[in-house]
Amino acid sequence: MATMTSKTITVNVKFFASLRETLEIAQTNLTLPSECTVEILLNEIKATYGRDNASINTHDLRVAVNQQLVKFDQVVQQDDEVAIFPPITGG
Amino acid sequence: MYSLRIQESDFSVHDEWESCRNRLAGKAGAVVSFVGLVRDDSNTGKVSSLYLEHYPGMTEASIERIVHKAQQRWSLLDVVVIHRVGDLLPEDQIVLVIVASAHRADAFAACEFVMDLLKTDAVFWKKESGDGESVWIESTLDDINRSREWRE
Repeated sequence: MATMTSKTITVNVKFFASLRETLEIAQTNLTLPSECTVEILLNEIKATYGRDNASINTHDLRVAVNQQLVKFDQVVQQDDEVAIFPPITGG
Repeated sequence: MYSLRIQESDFSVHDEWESCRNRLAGKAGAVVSFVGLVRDDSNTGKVSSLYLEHYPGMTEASIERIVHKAQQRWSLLDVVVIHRVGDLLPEDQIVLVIVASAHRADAFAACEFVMDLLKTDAVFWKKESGDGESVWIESTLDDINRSREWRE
C-alpha cells in the first residue's frame, strides 16, 4: 500500500483577555495536520493548555485568522496568524 | 481625512483640537469633540483601575471601519480617534473623538455615531479592578442598543 508523507503546517496562535489569563499563555506556534479547521485547532488548544477543560467553552470564543473573524469550519493555512478571544467589550 | 492612534500615554484635547483646526484652515464650520473618562463605579461595584487590552492591527482595522461608515453617512472634513490602552485610573481620559465638518449637524451626529460604535464594534477587552478582585467585563445592553439604533 502506497504511503503518503503526512503534511503538517505551523500556525501562530494568539490568545487575548480572559482566555490568555486562563491558559496562562499569550501566544504559541502550533504544528497541525494540513487541512486543519479552526474547530480542530481549538480542540488541540484545549487538550494542550486547558488544565481544566470545563473552563474553556469554545462556544464563547471568537476566532480571527489573519485578523479577519472566521467561522469554526475555516481551514487554516501554513503561517496563518490565528487569534482566539472572548467576545469584545468595545472601547 | 482621518487619523487614528492607539496608545498607552495620555493625550491633550487642546493640542489635538488645535491641530485639527489648523489642518482644515478655514474649511470647517464645526468641530465636535468627545472625551470619555474612566468612572470610579460600575455595574459591578467600585472601580479602582481599568485595564484595556487590544489586538494590534485588528483593533485599528475595526476602528477604521467605523470611521469609514461615518464618512459615507455624513459629509465630514476630518475625524480623529485616539484610544488609550493599558492600565487606567478613575478620572483618566480613555478616548477622544473629534469630528469636523462644514456644518454642525453632520459633526454632532457623526461624533455620536463613532463613539456609539466604538463601544460595541472596536476590538478591545476591558478588565475592571476594585474591592480586591478583577473582572473582565461585557458590553452593556445600553451600549448594544445605542449601537443597534444606528443600524436600523
